[in-house]
Amino acid sequence: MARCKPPVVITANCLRSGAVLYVATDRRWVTSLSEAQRFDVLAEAEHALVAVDDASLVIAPYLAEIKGSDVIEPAHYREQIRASGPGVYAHESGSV
Amino acid sequence: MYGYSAFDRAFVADRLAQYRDQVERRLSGALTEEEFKPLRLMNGVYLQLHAYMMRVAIPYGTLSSTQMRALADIAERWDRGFGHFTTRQNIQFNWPKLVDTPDMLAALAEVDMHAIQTSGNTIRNVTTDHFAGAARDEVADPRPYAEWIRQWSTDHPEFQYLPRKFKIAISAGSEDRAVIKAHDIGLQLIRVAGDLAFNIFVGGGLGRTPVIGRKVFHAVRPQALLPHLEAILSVYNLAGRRDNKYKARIKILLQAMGDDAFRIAVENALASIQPTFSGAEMVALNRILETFSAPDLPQRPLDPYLDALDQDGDFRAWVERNAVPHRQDGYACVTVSLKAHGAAPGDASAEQMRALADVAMRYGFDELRVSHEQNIVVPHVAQGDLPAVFAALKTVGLASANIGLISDLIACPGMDYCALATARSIPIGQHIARRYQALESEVGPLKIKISGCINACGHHHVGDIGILGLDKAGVENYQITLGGRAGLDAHLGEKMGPGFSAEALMLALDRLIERYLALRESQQETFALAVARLGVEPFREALYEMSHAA
Repeated sequence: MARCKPPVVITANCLRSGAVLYVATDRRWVTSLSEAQRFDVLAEAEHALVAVDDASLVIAPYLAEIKGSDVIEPAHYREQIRASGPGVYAHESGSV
Repeated sequence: MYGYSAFDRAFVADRLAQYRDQVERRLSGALTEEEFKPLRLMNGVYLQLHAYMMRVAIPYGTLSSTQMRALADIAERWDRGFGHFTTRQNIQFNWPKLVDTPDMLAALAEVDMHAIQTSGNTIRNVTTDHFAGAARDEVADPRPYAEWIRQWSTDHPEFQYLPRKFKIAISAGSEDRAVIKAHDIGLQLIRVAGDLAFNIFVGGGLGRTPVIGRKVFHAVRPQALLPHLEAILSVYNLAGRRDNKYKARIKILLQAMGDDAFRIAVENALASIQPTFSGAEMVALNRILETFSAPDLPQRPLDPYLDALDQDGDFRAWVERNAVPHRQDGYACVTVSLKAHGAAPGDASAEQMRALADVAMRYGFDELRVSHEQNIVVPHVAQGDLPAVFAALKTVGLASANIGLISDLIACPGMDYCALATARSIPIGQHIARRYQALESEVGPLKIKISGCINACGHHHVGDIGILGLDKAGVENYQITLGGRAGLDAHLGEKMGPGFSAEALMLALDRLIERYLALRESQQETFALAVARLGVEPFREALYEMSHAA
C-alpha cells in the first residue's frame, strides 16, 4: 500500500461492534471524526499507530488522509462514507 | 419443503457451540484477528465498512413463513430493523455486533437456518429458479436437486479450501431464471426420452473476468450427477490457481486447459470417484424428493379477482406486472417488489417481512422465495386471493407494480456498506428509480444492473444496461455496458467507453432512453430487442453526445 500523505488521522473498526473509530488526542478510541487527532507529520502518526494498536479493542488500524485546516474532512469519499454512515437511510447516518 | 433432520440440527448446534467459543476466545484475546477471521467467515460473519455483516443462507431461496418471521425478529433485535436480500437469494444483516452473532445464529438454528458456507472458498448457497415448483415451463422442480447438492457440499471435507469460492445454480425451465451460465457450474435440468438428466455448464462467472459458462457434459443422469460434480471440483481443487486470487476461479482453469482437456481430466477423475458413491446418495435423493411434494391446490372462486380487475386500476396494473401464470390454472406466481421507487433495492423492514410471512401463511401455502433479482416471490396464490394479497402488501408499501421495469433494478450493497466496493450503487439505483418513475411504463421492460466494484455482485455484465461503479482518481465514476443478457442465450454486455460522474450518469441515461424511444419500431420492441436489432452503436452515440453532456 502506498504511503499516506499527511495530514492524517488514525482509524479502525471496533472489535466488539464493528463501529468506525478514531484515535483522539488523549489516545482514546472515539466514534466521532471531529474528535480525532490530526497528525501533520507522518512519522508521528506511524509511531502513534503502533502504540494504539490494541487487538483486544480494535481491528486493523490504519492511517487515513484528511483535508481541511479547521474542520477535519476525509480526503477520500470512502473515508467520508465511513465517517458519516451510509446514505441509504437517514437513521444510519452518524455525525462527522 | 425440506425440513432439517436430527442429524442436520445436531450438526448446526455443534457448529454454533464451536463458533460461540471462538467469539469468546477472540474477545478475551486468546485468538488474534488473523486466527479468528477465517473462523467468523466460515459462519457468514464479515467486517464491512461500518459494522459486521452476517450473511444468512437461504437454500435455493426458499423460506417458510416461520423462517421469514425469524428473520424479522433478528432484524429488529440485533440489527436496525431491516435486512437486505441479495442476488444469491440470501439475506444480509448490515449492523450486527460481534458479541451478538452467536445469539443470532442460535435464533436462526431454531428455525432450521444457518450462515455456514456463505463465505470462504467453499461451495456457496445453491441457487435456482424463484418460480421452481410452480413454473409452467419446467420439466421438474429443481429444488430437490439443489437440496441434494446442498447436503453433499455442506462441510464436504475436500471442498472447504478450494482455490476460490464456488457457485452452483440450477434451472429447469425452457427459460433460465437462475442465470446458470454465469455460475462456476450451471445445471440445466432437462428431459431426455422421458427421463430427467442434466446439462452441465462449467466456467461461467462475472466479476473481473466475465465469462459465459460452456456446456461440458450433456444429459448426465441424476445418479451420475454428484460423481460428476465431485470430479469437476476435484480437478479444480488440484489444478486451479492458488497463487493469484484474480485467476483462481474455475473459469480461468477451463480457459487455460481448454474444454476438451478439462473434460478428459474430469472423466479420468470420475473413474476413481464414481465407485465411491455406493447408492446411499440416491436413497437420500429419494427421501428429499418426497419432502418436495407439490401443495394440493384447490380450485377457488374467481369472482373477487375478476371484480377487482374490473374495478381497480392499481390492482390491474399490479397483476399485469407482478403476477405470472402458474402451472395450475386458477393460480398465479406473485412477485412482490422490494423496489418501491426510491427504496434500497432488496431491502425489507421487519414489518414488511412479517407481512410477507402473513401473506404466505394465509394465501401462499406457507412458501416464499427470494429471487436473484432481489424480490420476494409467493409462488402459489389462487387468483381469487390476489385482491387480498394486493391489499395486504399495500399496507406495508410492498405493492409496487414495477417488475421488469426500470425501477426493478439490481444493486449490490456498494460502498454504503461493502468494504470491497469502489463506489456507491444503492443511491444510484434509488436515484434512477425516482427519476424514471413517471416514464417507466412507457419505456417498458428494461433490466438495469448496478455493481459497486469489479466483483460484479450486481450482475452488471448481463444487464440490458449495466452500471459499474469505480474509483477514478478519488472520484466515483460509473461505466456503462449495454446489451447484456442472462438466460440460456446469455451474453455479456459491451463496455461503452469512458465512465461518468454520478450526475453525468443520469444525463447519459436520459439520452440513452430517449434514443431508444425514438428508435424502437413499436412498444413491443423492448430495449433489449432494439439493441439486438440495431447494435450498440446508436446507443453509444447517444451516451456521448457532447451537446448534452454535463
